[in-house]
Amino acid sequence: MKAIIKGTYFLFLMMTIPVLLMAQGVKSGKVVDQQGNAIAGVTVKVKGTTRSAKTDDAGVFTLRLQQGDIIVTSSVGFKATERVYASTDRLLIELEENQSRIDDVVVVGYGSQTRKELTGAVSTLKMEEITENQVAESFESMMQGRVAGVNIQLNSGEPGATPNVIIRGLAAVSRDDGSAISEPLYVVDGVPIISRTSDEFAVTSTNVLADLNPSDIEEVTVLKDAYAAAIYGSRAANGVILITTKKGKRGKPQININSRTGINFVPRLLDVAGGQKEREQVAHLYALYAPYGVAMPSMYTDVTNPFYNNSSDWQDYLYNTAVTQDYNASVRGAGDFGQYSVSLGYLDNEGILFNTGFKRYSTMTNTTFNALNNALVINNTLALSRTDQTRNPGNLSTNFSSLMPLPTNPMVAGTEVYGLGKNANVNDRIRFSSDVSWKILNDLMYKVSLSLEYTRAMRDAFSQSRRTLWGTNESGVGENRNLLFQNTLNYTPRFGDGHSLSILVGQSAEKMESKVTNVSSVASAPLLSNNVKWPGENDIGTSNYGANTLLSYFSRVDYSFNQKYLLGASIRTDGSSKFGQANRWGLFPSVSAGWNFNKESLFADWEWLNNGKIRGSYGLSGTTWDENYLALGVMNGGSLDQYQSLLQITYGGIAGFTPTWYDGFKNEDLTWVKSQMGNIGMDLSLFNNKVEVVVDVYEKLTKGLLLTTALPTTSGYNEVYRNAADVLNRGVEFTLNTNMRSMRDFSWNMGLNFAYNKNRVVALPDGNADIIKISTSGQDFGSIVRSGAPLNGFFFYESQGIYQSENEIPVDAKTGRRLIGLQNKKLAVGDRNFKDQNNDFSIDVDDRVLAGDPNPKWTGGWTNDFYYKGFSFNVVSTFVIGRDIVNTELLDRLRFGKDFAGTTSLPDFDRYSIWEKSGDQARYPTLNPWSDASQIVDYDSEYVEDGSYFKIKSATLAYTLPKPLLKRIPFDRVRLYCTVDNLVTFQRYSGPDAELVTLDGFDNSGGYPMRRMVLFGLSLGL
Amino acid sequence: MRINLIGDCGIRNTVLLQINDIKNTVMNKIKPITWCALVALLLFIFSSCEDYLTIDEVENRTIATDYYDSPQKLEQAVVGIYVDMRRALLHNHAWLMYGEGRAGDLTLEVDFMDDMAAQRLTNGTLPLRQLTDWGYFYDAIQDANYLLEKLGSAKGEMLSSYQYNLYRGEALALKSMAYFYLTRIWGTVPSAEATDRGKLLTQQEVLTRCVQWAAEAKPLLPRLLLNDDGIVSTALTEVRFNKTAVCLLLAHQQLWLGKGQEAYDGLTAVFEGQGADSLSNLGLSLGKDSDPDITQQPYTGNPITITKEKLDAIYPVGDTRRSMFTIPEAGTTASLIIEEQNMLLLYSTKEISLLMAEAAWRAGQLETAKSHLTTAAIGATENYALLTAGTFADALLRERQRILMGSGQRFFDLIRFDKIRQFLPSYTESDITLGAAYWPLSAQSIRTNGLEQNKYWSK
Repeated sequence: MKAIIKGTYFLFLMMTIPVLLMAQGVKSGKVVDQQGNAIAGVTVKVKGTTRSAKTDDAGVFTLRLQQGDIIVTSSVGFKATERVYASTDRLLIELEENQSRIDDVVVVGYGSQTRKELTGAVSTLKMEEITENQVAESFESMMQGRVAGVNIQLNSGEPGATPNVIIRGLAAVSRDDGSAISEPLYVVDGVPIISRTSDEFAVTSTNVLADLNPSDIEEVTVLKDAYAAAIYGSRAANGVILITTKKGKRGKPQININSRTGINFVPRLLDVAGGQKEREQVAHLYALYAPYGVAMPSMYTDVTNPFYNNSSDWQDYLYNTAVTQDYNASVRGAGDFGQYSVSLGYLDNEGILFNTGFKRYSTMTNTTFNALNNALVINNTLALSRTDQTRNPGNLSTNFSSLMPLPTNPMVAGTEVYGLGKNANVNDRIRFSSDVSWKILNDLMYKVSLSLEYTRAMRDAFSQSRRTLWGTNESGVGENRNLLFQNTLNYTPRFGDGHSLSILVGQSAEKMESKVTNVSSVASAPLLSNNVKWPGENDIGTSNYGANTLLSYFSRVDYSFNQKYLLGASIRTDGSSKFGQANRWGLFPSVSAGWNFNKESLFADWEWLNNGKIRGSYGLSGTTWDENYLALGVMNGGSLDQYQSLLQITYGGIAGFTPTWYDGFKNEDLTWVKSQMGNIGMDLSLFNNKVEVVVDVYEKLTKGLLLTTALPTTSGYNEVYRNAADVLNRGVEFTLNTNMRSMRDFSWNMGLNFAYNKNRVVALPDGNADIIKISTSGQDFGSIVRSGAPLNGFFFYESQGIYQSENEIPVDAKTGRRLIGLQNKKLAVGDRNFKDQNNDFSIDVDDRVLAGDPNPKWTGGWTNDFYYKGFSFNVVSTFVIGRDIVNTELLDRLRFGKDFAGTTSLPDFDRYSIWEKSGDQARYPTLNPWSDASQIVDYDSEYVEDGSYFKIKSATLAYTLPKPLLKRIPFDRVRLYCTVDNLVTFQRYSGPDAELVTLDGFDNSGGYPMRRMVLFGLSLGL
Repeated sequence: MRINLIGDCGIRNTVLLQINDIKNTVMNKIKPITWCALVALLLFIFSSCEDYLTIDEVENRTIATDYYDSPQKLEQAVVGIYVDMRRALLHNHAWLMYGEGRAGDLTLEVDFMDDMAAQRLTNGTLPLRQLTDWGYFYDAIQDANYLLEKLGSAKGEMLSSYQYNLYRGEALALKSMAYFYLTRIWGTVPSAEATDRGKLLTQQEVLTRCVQWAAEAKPLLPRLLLNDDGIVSTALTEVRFNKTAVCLLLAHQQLWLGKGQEAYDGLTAVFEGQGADSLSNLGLSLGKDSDPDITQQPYTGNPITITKEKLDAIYPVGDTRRSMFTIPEAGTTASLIIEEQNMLLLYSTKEISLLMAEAAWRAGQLETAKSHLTTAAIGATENYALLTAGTFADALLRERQRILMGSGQRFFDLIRFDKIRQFLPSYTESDITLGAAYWPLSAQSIRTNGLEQNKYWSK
């Protein structure tokens, strides 16, 4: 009986297994996108089973399937699909691109998170298309207008200039110029990089970040709030910019070549009264104002002078259409072994100004190897770059008088009296980093990384006097070295029903060293390299070295329940060698919470709501400063005291040396500058992810900004650095992204973002005393830092027009004394009428008032991308609203000294409303070059103008060849495009360009206007 | 620079706790050997080396804490105090303005002289702001205190006993002199001593401290200083504190305190029977230094002048000390002749007899006092043997004025002899009570320390 049962059972098996095997046959399929392109690396699973496969380079997968199986596909960037398998099916699965970014993985500090689980204010920017369409020396300028709350201003049109990047408002106070900016931290592939050189060690003024080829960047992530940024602790208060470079993707090797050439056109230039007009104007000023016996220089009167009839257009001569070339090539790929990426870049950006330009040579190699069955991942990056910035050595000026002969004039040609000199600035960077990730368990990952970064800046300058041929040689070398060792442990368990946890613990140790050597000599030829002489008593060279270390421990815990309720907390402690023993450790905690409310049953019926999240965070982050040894009490004998009296240190044949002489105060109390930031935000995805809205409201209080503060004179010291000033920034950010697809071939993506920020100084040292900014040489900058007011407000004399008659000049009724003007000038008709604020009948510094705010209130951008079949049209605009700027460019050109004739060009007076005689309803006062006190004064509120602007930054028309056409040529992708950069600016400002202003609001365009570029490009994929 | 990479490594407890949390969760899943490797690795990584953050040396910078590690460098610190004192007394001819300038005896062709003569000391012009700022004196005090602290550890190890005694004596004497100037210029002044920094001290308290420091310096300072080769140098002795100078300083301070007998005893013990060779002047070195930028100002440029009328009143015709001045035939002024242009004379050996005369007089020994005054006043037309107890004070004050003309002592003498109103009748009794005899304080001096302006000057 037993045998019969066994036999029957065996027979049954023998009959059914083949049937089952036949029903569950091995099937092949293909996954493609909507254009029919194969998609590699797509996970294809059978729902409810462990059966799964991945597509290969041809998009093909092989899987055991049976009728009725539910096939699930998932891939980053595409919508997940589910379909029931019917054996008759032709297994071609088409995936639709996921327009929603909600499932994207976002790089955050020391890790990554899905966008859905983010609780901090984080913005990401895909750089691929941007870098393909535009050419720029640095990626920062390409980000302009694209991220809410990130204000990027190009304050010069010079190739290689450094833009200002300010995230959520300025929070830096200084007593001198406006250069103290609150700069973000830049992190490339997890490694903080050298992003600037401190003034002490700066050799070149080239943008340090310009050596990073934008074409190597895949994505930029901006961490704006405390929770996102605080994991970077002491350097995160001004935001963190995470840069992810391009890596190889699975599939066949991706070979890309992008070649473009741009023509740089000269923009609108300054108006110049040339030739005859200049002579007339000079004669007119002489006729009006020259004292008795003072005659015009003979060059204006001597008709036999060969240059008498000159009308040199210096601007035309020195500004010229220039060419920009940019070539990028890369090979990338990936497989089971890991990935590789090699890229090369060359940029040659000729400046529109004679003898200027910028070149970049860059290469980057990144390789990843998988070992021990993917448990060990080894990653190496080596990036090398050189930038070569040529600057105008200053021998030729666009501001020369039109009577001076151009070098092309036959009278001077060949004598080489012009153009002698050079100013070469070369920056090199080597960045090497290596990291190893060890997957100890499925959800436990350990990563160790070591990175070494070295930058070297070299400057060689020679300038020679046009007349004496006596020249100055200058040469400098600056080096920076960073050594960084980081360790992190990530534990990401999932447990229970929908609980997930992510725990990060980490450590980093960083040592930063800087060195600089500068030498100079004076000779009649460029002789520095072999002839460094000691010219009398002067120093011929200086050198300096500085170092600091930073040791950090950090941890972050993120908890998510069903991706509905999100909690996070992070803490970082940083120790720095810059502080005294007791204060060297700073603690930077933060907390956050998020609620994906669309997952609540209440909203289940709201089909138009795809995602809705409310999030909030609060935390502390920090800022440091450049000086390495402030706390130590570095002695510097013989400096000027507060009365500008030089201390003579030699006595009886011996040089004295005491700690009280300048900076010898040992200052162990210095500590971290800390920013408290609160942020509440909401993310919405609506109408099938076609509309995305992000709103953030924040408040950032930066406390303990470093400033010199007065010490009681009885201490033996004058002043000391203290954590003394507080600045508050409050703001709102709004982002709206839409992607509309009206028909299969047409789509329109729109991005609008704007941010409002209000900036206020909360506390200042010495009893909230005003700080009037002055340079180290005592020059007044016209800016004030005042408690309760915005940072760096203009501190100007208030103009009330021009005195039209003698009786308008106020007279003190008590004393009968008339109002005295600046520099004790006896005021006259035609002089500027400044308001005597304190009614003391004397115009002096006490009469200056806050006359404007250089901090932009509204900033933002508007981008529109239209796609039709292979065509695309992209327009990027940026705007700034609510900012005051000073037209220093005009002010400087209207101010004449008594030797004005024949030296500089003159503006065309007819275009300006200038006072000459009683009754003239003029805006600008008398230009009398012989006046005891010029009425064209630096800090005249009349020159404050509205600095708002709307700029169409770039417009690109591109065409991508369709697939069928490509089959005939050996390319996978061919794209042709044309971009116009700096297309048009709408502004109320009367000067050249409202964007080209310094951080503290003064026109900076005179030196170098912004070019308009027309770029033609060809992008090939093999 | 050296940054220690390896030091005493202590495990940070907080990090260990976090590691333990993870350990509890995952330890069951990991093989023991892997676990051991992991723990060892983490211990290595997360152990903290505090020394990593300590910068031991800063190669190209000078840090006060580490700098003074040789006798030469300590001497630089001593010299630094003299430099501070020189700055305090020379800027805007301060030494003269605090003395004969304000008293109206001597004048200079400078912008602020009119304000000085009219006693408009709060005018607010830069020179007056600087003259009313006591900061430079406090710089000297701070540097002296810093040196005294440094010397404490240097005794016996780095310095010979001669060097130790000299530097310490100089620091004490200079500090004593700086406070002495402060209290004579401003009256009540705050302490800059570590024990009671900022405490406002009465003039009596300041003088008591000054006497204490000068008395401490007295046995430490040699009569004549040695140069680097160990040879006695009179040139060096003249520009550094020596025994003569500190004894004069001490006696001067004691006389301010009214301690005539103590002053007399001290002076006789040091000076009686001493030959001129063992005595030395004290001045602040000017001009002759290797640095060509050290000018011989105040003695170059504008001459220090006196009106002929005043000259005749102070030095009657026949007084041989009129030879201290160049008296032109024409004009209304005479100019002071500066014999030694390489230093600003602070204590002259001529003052020994003057102070002994005053000390004897204040100690009740009129005859001895008259004898010393006669010795001091060589060239005078008066017969001081005839002085009485009632006339001695005026005669002494006059002789001090004559002998010390140009040394900056005059106004201080008027305060000490209570003669302000007599010589500056524009001041009322109540002005003097409020503090008119002392200088106002600049805004710089009273900021951030809670001090108030002198009552007279804040009227």
